[in-house]
Amino acid sequence: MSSHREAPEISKDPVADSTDLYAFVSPDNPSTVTIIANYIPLQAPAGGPNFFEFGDDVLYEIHIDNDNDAREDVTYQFRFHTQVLNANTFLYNTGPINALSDTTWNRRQSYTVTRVDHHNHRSEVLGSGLLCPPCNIGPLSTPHYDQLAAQAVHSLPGGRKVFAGQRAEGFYVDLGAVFDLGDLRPFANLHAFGNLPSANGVNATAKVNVHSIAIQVPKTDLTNGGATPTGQADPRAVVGIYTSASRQKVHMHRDDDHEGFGVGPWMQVSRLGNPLFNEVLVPMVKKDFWNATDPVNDQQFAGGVAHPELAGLLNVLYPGVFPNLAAYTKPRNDLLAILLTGIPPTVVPNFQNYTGPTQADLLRLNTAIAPTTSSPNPLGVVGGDLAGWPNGRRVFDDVFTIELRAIAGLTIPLVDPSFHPDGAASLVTDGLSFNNYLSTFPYLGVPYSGYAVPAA
Amino acid sequence: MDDLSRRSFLKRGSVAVAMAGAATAMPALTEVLSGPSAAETGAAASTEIPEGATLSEPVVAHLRDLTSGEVHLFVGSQQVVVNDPQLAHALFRATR
Repeated sequence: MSSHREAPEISKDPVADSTDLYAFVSPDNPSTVTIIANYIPLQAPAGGPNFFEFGDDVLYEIHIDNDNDAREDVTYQFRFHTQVLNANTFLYNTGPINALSDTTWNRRQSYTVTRVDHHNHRSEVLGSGLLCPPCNIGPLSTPHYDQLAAQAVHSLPGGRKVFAGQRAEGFYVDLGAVFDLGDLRPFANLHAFGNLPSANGVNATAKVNVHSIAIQVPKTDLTNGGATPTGQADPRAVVGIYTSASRQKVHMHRDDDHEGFGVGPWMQVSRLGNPLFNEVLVPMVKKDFWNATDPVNDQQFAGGVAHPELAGLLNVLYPGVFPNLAAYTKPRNDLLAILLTGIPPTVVPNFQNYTGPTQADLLRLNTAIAPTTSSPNPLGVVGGDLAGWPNGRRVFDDVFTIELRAIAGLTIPLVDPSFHPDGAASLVTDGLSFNNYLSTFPYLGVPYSGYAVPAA
Repeated sequence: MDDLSRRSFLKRGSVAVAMAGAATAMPALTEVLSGPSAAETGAAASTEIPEGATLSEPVVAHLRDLTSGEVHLFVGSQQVVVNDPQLAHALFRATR
C-alpha cells in the first residue's frame, strides 16, 4: 500500500503507522498550503467498542525543509490526550452525539499543536485542548456526522487551521491483485503464472477509514525566511515535507498502572515522504530501519531506487510486455530525481521541485504553482497537471498508477532521451478511480459509519 | 540552518525540563548527570540523598556492559549514559 503496514515492526503498532502524506496548495485558498498526515490504517468502521484514536504516547510530527539540506527547518508537533467522562460504563457514547460538547460522548480525545522553528530555536504552542471528533459510529450515535466533524476544524493564530480525527481512506489500490504476485486485473491475461481473464480493478481500501492530521497554513509559514516566492523557478518556492511518529525509548508496564508509561528520549518509529517509497523500494529487512532513519541519511537507500526490484519483476511477471525496460541497465536517474532530489529546472517545462543534490525521501512541493481547479488530472505531472504528484500530492492523485508507470519506464526519457518506453508503460494500471473527497478543508471524505459498513 | 537536528533540538529542550525537575526531586541523580563525575573519574557516585528528596518520576536503568560499567538511565525524556563499574556491579548483584 502507500505506506500502510509497510514494515514488519510498525505493522504491529498501527497508532504510530503513517499511511499517507499529502501536501498541496489549497485549491479554495491558494495563499495557503494544506498538509495531511494519515495514521492508523485499514480501520473497519464498525470496530468498536473501543473505536480508533491517536496514541497519547506517540509524538506525531510534520517536518518542513525549506533550505535544501534535507533537515527540518519547521516542525508541527501534535500530542494527544484522552479523557473518559464516565468511568462506570463500557460505552463509547451513552446517547447521540450532536456536538463536541455533548457529555454523551464518553471517551474523547484532544490535542496540542506546537510549531517549532529550528532556525530560531523557538517553539510556539498554536493551540491546546483542541477536540478531535468522535469516530463515525452510526446514525443514532453520530447523526449528521459531517456537521459534527466540521466542529473539529479549529482556527489557529496566523491564519492557520487544523483538524485531527477520523476520515475516509483516500488512497485507492487493488491490494488483492498487487499482493497476489502483481496480478493486475486489467492485464491478468498476460501474467506469466496464470491465465485469469482481464477484469476491472477492485479497490481494497474503498470502505475503510483512517485517522488524519490536517493543517492548513499560509505558504509563508513554510518557506525559507517566510518569503513569498516570485514564481515556480524561485528556489524558495520549493519545500520538502515528511511526517514522522516517535515513541519514547522505554515503555514499562507497572503493577499499579495498567496503561504503563513511557520514559526516555523520543525515537522515530515511522516516517513518510513519497508514497510507496518504503513499501516498494526498500528491502523488507531494512524497512523498520528506514522508518527510524532521518531523510538526510537516505543516500544509503538510493540503490533500491536506481535499480528498483519491481522493474525487474515486471519483466518476469509479464514476459515480452516490457522488452525495452528489460534491456535498460543504466541507473534509474529519473526515479532518483523524482523521489530523492526533486526534478531540476528544464527537465519538465515550467516546472521544478529541485531541492539540491542531497538525496532524501521528501514530498517536494513547489508552492508557487497554482492549484488546478478545473478538471485536475489524477496522474499529476506525468498527466500534464503540474499541480499533482510528484509536485506535492493531492488527495485524489493516483499515485499507484503514476509510480507503476514510472517504474515501468515511462519517465526515463526525462533524463535519457535515447530510451523509448514500451507501449505498456503508459497503459499499465491497477484499473481504479476513486472520488470520495471534499472540496474544502480537510478534503478527505467523511468517514464511513460502522452502521453502514459493518465489519466483514 | 545550522547543524541542529530536530532530535537534538527536542533533546536540548527536554533536558532543560528534565533537569529542572530532577534538580529538586533527584539530587543524587543530578550529581550523576552533571557531576565531575563517576562517569569521568570512575569513582562511585555520592550515596548521600538530601533530606526531603523524593522520586517524582520514573527512572529506568539499563545495564548495557558489565565490564565497562556502562549504564543507561532513562528519566523524563532524557537518556543519560554513566560509566561506573561499581554501579554496574551493584545493579548486577541485585539481580542475582
